[in-house]
Amino acid sequence: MRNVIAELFRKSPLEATGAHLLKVKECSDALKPLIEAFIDRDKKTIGEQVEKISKLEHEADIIKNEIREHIPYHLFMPIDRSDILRFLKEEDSIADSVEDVARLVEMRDTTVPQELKDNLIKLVDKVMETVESLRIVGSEIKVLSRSSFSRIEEEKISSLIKNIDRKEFEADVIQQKAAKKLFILENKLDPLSILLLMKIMGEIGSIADHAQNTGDRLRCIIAR
Amino acid sequence: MTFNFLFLVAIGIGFYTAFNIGANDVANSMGTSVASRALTLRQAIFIAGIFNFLGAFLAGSYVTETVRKGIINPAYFVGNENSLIIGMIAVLAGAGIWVTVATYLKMPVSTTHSIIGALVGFGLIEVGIRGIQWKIVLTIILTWITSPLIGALISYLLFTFIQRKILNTLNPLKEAKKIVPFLLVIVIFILSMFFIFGGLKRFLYHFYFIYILVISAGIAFIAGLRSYFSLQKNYLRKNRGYEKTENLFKPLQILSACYESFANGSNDVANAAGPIAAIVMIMDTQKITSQVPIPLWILIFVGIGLVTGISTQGYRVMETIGKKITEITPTRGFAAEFGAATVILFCSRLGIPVSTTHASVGTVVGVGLARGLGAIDLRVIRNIILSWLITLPAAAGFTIVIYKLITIFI
Repeated sequence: MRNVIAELFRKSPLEATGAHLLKVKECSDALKPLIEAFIDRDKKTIGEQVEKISKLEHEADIIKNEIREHIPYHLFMPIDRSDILRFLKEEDSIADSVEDVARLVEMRDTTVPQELKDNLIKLVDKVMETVESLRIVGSEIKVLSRSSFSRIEEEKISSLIKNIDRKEFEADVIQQKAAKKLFILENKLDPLSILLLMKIMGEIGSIADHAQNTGDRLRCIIAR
Repeated sequence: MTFNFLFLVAIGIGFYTAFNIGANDVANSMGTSVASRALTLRQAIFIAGIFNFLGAFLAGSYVTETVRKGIINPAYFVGNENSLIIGMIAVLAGAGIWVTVATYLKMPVSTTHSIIGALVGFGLIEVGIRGIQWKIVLTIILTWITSPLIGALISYLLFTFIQRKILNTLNPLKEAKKIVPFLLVIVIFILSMFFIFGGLKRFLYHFYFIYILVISAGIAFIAGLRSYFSLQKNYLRKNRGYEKTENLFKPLQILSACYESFANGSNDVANAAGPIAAIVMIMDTQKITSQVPIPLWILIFVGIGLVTGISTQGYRVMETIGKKITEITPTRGFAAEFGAATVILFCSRLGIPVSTTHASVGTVVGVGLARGLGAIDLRVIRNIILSWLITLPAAAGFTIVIYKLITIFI
């Protein structure tokens, strides 16, 4: 027997994004061991981490597509349809960037100069902190939805999003310092190594950018 | 002899109709309570059975009267009583067949709409345009449009009130402990008013309405005070998870589920009891325009039909709902149920048959408008409107065919 009331309810897409974020976070967690292996020139570990990252990135894609398929136009939601799609897309770009870093690291056997190692680790740590800040925000999304968009919850999330912004800014500063250092060392390094290291650091930085953008998208969702 | 047989047929179809209504509507009044875990499946069936029956018995006579003699003007059948008897059987059968066909076609049709369409069909074919009391029919149709909208508005406002006063505050639990008793008073007041009024009306002919108001207010006030003090005694703690706050609403949601069951029973009973009453009262008195109240046994008989449907089919319908809907919380369920019940019971008192399902859908959307639900499938509403438009001519058509068939063979 069909029941109209049962058919009226659809799963909340906003709450469903929680699973996607966890997968993205898991994917980005592989970044630290990857970069450490890169510094140590441990090819075996690099290979393992690259494989792990691309697997997790793929799984995140699957979750993303599933959520997208369940947001048809005939749903009435407390949030804007395009807002949540943009949010999801930006969240997914985090995993994409992690995968790009992995590909770059795997591409060429490059020696990381001794002087740059600290900067690189610092950058990775800060980027991971940024993603972690996003995860904390993400875990509040379900509470927000369950509280029927309570203003208290909205304010709480807004202030948590500011943490992401701060971490992203710090990551930018670290990245800029590392780039400067790289060019101080330019005479000691071959141009291709410089090119690759620049690209890798840039891509690591863009992970934090995407995390920040995801937070921005969430702001739009709340501000409605 | 033939008419005794026809009477048995009418009783049989009437029971079948009541059974179907019970099976379908239990999910409207109880589905959200089961989904929010305020009630177990077993408890929900039990409460739905009792309150549907009480609603049918204590407050079901108004709408039944409308269905019996409000749509078709009985005055045209003086001296031709038998055709009204056959007609009412055709109405029950025509509406029943259409609902069965539509259910098979997966269309969300309303039994109430089918019965009204069937009555209009029969009136038109037997008497013609003047045979229908168009003013009443138009009022009813207008109410079909307004009742889900008003229900949505009530639920929207009630849920917004809960948001403002409780969910949007720094300490929702503490605020809930103040607001819950207040809401409790309102629900208990309305429920006990209808209980006492319905009961007294049945067994006493002279009483003052003001007494009922005072007694109901007294009962509600005492219940409210009790709830207030027992809530205040509990240790106050800050709770951000909203779960404890929601739990405080569970008793309220159970009450509003009783309220909605009562309201559903009071309105839906007429779909089966109206035509049966028309037949029985003609056979008993051979006078169509009699003013005697509807025989109690008819309401009880149809009430038993409702309860049978609820208790045998309710499990299946509600089990799926309980699993499927995880979004509903006691605050949301309470707001939706309260809105639906209020609108339906108000219509019952005015004698207007409405679709209880449509009222429930409207109130769920009302909660959704207040950002209370993750996602609502608007296709359901489109399907409802489409089925709504088809139901009137379809039920009328089936009824006319059946009526013609019976008159050929008798």
